[in-house]
Amino acid sequence: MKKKPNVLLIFTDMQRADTIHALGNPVIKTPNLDRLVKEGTAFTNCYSPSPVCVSARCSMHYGLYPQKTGLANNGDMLSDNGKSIPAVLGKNAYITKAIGKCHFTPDRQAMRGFQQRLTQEECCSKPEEDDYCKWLQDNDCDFDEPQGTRGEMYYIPQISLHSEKEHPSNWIGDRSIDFINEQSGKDQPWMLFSSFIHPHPPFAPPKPWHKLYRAPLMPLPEVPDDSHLLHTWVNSCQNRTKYRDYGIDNNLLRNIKAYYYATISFVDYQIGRMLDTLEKNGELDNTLIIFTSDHGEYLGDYNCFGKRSMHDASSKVPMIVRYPERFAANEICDQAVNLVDVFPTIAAASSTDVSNVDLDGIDMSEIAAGNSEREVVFSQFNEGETAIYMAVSREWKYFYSAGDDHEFFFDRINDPRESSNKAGLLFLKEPKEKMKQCLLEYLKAEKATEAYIETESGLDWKRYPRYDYSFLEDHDKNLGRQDHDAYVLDRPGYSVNN
Amino acid sequence: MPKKPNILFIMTDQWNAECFSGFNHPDVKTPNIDKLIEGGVSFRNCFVANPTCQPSRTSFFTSQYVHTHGVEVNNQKSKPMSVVHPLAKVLKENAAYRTGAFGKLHLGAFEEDAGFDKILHACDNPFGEPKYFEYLKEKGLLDEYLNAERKPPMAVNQKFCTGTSPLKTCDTNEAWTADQTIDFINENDDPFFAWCTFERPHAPHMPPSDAPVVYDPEKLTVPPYDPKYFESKMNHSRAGCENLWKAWVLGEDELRNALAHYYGLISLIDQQIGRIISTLEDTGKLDNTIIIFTADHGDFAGNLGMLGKNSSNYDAIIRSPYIWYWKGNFDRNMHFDLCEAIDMYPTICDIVGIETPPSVQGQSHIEALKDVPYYRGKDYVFSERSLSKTVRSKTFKLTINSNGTKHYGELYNILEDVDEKHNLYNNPAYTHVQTELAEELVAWFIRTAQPVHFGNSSEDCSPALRWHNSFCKSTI
Repeated sequence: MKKKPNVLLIFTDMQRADTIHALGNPVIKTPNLDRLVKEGTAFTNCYSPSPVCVSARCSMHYGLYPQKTGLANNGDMLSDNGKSIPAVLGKNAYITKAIGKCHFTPDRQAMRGFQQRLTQEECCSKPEEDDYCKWLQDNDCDFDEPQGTRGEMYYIPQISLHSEKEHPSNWIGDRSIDFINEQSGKDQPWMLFSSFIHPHPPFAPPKPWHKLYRAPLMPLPEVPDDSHLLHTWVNSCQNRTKYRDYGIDNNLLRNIKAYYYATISFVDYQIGRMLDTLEKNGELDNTLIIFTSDHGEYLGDYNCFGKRSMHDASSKVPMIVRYPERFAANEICDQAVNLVDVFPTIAAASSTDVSNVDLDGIDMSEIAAGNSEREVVFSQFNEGETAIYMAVSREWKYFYSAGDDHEFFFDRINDPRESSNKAGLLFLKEPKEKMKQCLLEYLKAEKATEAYIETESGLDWKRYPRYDYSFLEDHDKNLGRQDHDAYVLDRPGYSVNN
Repeated sequence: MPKKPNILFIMTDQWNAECFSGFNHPDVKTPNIDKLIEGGVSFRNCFVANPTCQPSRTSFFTSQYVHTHGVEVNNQKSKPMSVVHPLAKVLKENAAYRTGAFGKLHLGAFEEDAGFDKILHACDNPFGEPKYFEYLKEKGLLDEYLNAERKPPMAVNQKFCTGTSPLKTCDTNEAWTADQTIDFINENDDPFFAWCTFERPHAPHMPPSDAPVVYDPEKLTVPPYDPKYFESKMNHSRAGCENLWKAWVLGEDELRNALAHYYGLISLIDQQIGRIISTLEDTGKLDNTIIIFTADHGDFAGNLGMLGKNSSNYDAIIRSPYIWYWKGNFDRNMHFDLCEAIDMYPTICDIVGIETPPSVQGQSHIEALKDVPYYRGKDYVFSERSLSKTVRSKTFKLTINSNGTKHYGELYNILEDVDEKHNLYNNPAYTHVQTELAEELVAWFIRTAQPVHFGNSSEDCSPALRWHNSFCKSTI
C-alpha cells in the first residue's frame, strides 16, 4: 500500500495576500513562494474567517467559521473537542508536530491534538514557558521580546536584536528541517505545522536582510480619495493603538514596507530550506504543502494600520497548495476560498474519514477543479455591537459594520483596489442585496440573533447605537499603546512607574 | 418648439435640512414636501455660501461666493460689487420668462436690479411698507400682528421668541405669500419664474392656533446636548436675545416648547406649499413646472440643545434643504454627495437651455437630476462669514476664524464626530488633512477673489475670467 502523504502546513502571521512576487508584486523577493506557485495551485481569493490571530487560527484548526467556534476576536478558544486537524490525523496514524506560534488560548501550552510541540509564542520572554526563549537562554542570548521590541517601537522598523542564526524565523526553519530529516525513511506519515510569527510587527529582520529593500524606492500605501469614508469603527479605534495616530509620515511608511517585506523574504528563505530538505529526502511530491497566513495588515492603506476590518489588505491572505497528485502545477484559481477549507483539503488528500466531524469548508482541490457550486465565503470580526460581518465572492464583497451601522460594497472586478464604496448605488442594488441576504441567511441559519432581525420585508441587520467614539476626546489616549507596559524598567531610581 | 418649463423656486428661511418626515425625522410632519422628495431628487449635503439671509440670498441669485459679491452682512445698504447677471433677469431677458417674487426677499437694494417683473413683500421692503402690511391693515389686523409678532415683549424674545399668532392661518404671511404666488401662476400661460419665499420657520416662532399640526412638546425628541460643549471653543455667540436660546440657559422644557412651535411653522409652510402644488395640478401646469425647494440657511433645530443660529459655521447652520422635482422628467433619487447652493443657477440655465453667464461661480449638477449613475458631487464645498472661512470635504471640515489679529483653526472629522466636538486642528495625526484643506481654502479664495480695481483693468485680470469654467478647465 502506498504511504499516505505527509502534510506540511506553513503558516505566517499577518502576511498580506499581495506579498508574493510570482502573483504580481514586482517589488518583493520571494523565490521559494514563487516556486510553490509554479509547482502548485495558487488561490488568489483566499479570505480569513476572522481577521485577527486567535479566532482565525481557531477556525482553521477546527475547520469551522467563528459562528461555530464561538470566537471572532482574540479571546479564549473553545475547549478542545478532539476534532482538530492534528487530532483527526493522529487518530489515522499520523505523527503530528507544531513548531512555532500556535496562539492557543487560554492555555498557550495546550496540545489541542498535536503529539509534539516546540513553542515560540508572541509576547513571551520566559524560558520556562517557551522553547525558543529557553534555547536563547541556553545559548547565552538575550531572550527579552525576541521577535522585536514592542511598545512605542511596535510599528517602527528595526533590526532584530538577534543574528541571522538566532533569529526566531531561522529557529523555526531549523527545527522544521530537523523534524523532516528525523521522519525521513519512516513508514508513518507526518503532519508538521510550521508557524512563523513574522511578518507580524515589530518588523525586525536580521542583518543583513534589513538591507534587501531600499526604503526610498518602496511604493507608498494605497490611499484612495476620501478613504475615510471607507473606515469602519474598528479601523478608527485601532488606528489609535497602531501607529497611525502619531501622524502620517511617508518616509517612515516606505521604511515600514521595506522591513515588512524583508521579514517575509527571510521567512521565504526558511521555506526554501524546508523544500530543499524534502526534495533531498525524496519526499517532496508525497507531501501536501499548504502555505497561508492568518490575516493581512493594512500597512498604511486607507491611512490605516493593523487588521480586524474587512478590506482585502486585512482579510485576504495568501494560499498556495502544492501536491502534484491533486493540485495542478502553475495553476491560478480565483474562486473565493477560506481558511476553513484547509481542514477538508488535508482530510481529502490524506484519505482521512471526517464524516463524523462537523466542517464548514470544502476540499480546495474540488474548488480548483470547478466541482463546487459555492460562490461565497464568510468572515466575521467580533460580535454584537462592534461586529463586522462579510460575505465575499469572486465578483463582489459586502460587509456590514455594526459599530457605525455602515454597509460596504465593493465591485471586485472593476475596482480591485476597493477604492469606492458602492453600497449606495441604485444600479448595483441587486447584486448588493443578493450578497447581503446571502450573509444574513447564513447568520440566521447559525442563529446569530445578535446580528440580524426579521422584518416584514425580510432579514435585516440588527442596529445598535453608534458605538463608543470617546477616544476622539483625547488625542493621546491609547496612542501607540501596544503592550507598552509588558516589559518595563523597574530599578530603584529608574522606574517608569514613578 | 417645446414650451420652456415653468420654474417655481420655493425658499424658506432657517429650515434645518433634516426637518422632513420624508427624511425620517422623528417628529416633523411635511406630507406635501414629502411628495417632492419621493418623486424627485433630494440633495442631503447642500451647503449655502453664508449662513445669514441677505448674503446667502444674494449668492443664490448671483451664483457667486460672498467675498466675491461683497454683500457680507444682513441689511447691508450697498449692492453687489461684482459683475452680476441676476438669475431672474437672465431668465427674463434671454428666455422670455415672466418673473415674480413673493414674500420675504431680503435682497436689499439689489432687488431693483434683480430682474423681477413683479415684487410683493411680506416683510423687509427696503423701499417702503410691505404689501402684506397693507393687506392686514385693510382687515384691521395690522396693529395686533405688529405687537404680537414684530415687536414682541423682551420676555418673549428672550425665550426663543415663542408664542401663538393672533392671526388665523388664512391671514398669516405664509398663506398670503402662497396666495400671491398662486395669483401670479394663474395670470397667464406664459412660462414663469416664481420666487415664492416664505419668511419663516425663522423667528418669531408663532404659528396660528389653527395651524395644520400642533406638536406636543413633551413627545418631541431632543438630541443629547452638553452645556460644556462651547467651553473649549472660540466664542461663537451672536449679539442679542438669540444668545440665550439654549436648553441649559432656559431649560429643556422651554426648548421643547420652542421646537414644537418651530415644527408647527414648518407644517404650516408645508400646507401652503401643498396649496400651490394643487393649483399647478388643477391648472394642468404641474407637468411642465420644475419645483425647487430650499432654504437660505439652516437652524440648530434642537442640535446641541439650541435653536436659531450662532456665529459658527456648524453643519446644521450652513447645510440647507435642497430638493428638485419635475414630474416625469427627473430621476427619483437621493444624493449624499456634496453640492452648493450657488450650483442652482447654472443648473437652471442648463435645463432651460440658455448660456450660463461668465459671472457664475457655481457648477451645474444637471447630471444628478437625470439618470447618470456615477454622479460624484463636489470634492470640496465652501461657506464663509467675514471673519471665518470654511472648507468641507465629505469627511473633514476646516474653518479658519479670525478676530482681526489672531486666528483660530477648527478641524473636525465630521464622519465620526457629527457634533463637531473634538477639534483636530494642529493634531499631528491629521496634519495631512489640515494641509490639504488649508491649501484648498487658499486656492478657492484666490480663484474667486474680487480685485478692488475690477472694471479698470485689462481683460486678463477680470474676475469673470478667473472663475469661469472654460478658463479654469483650459489652464488647470
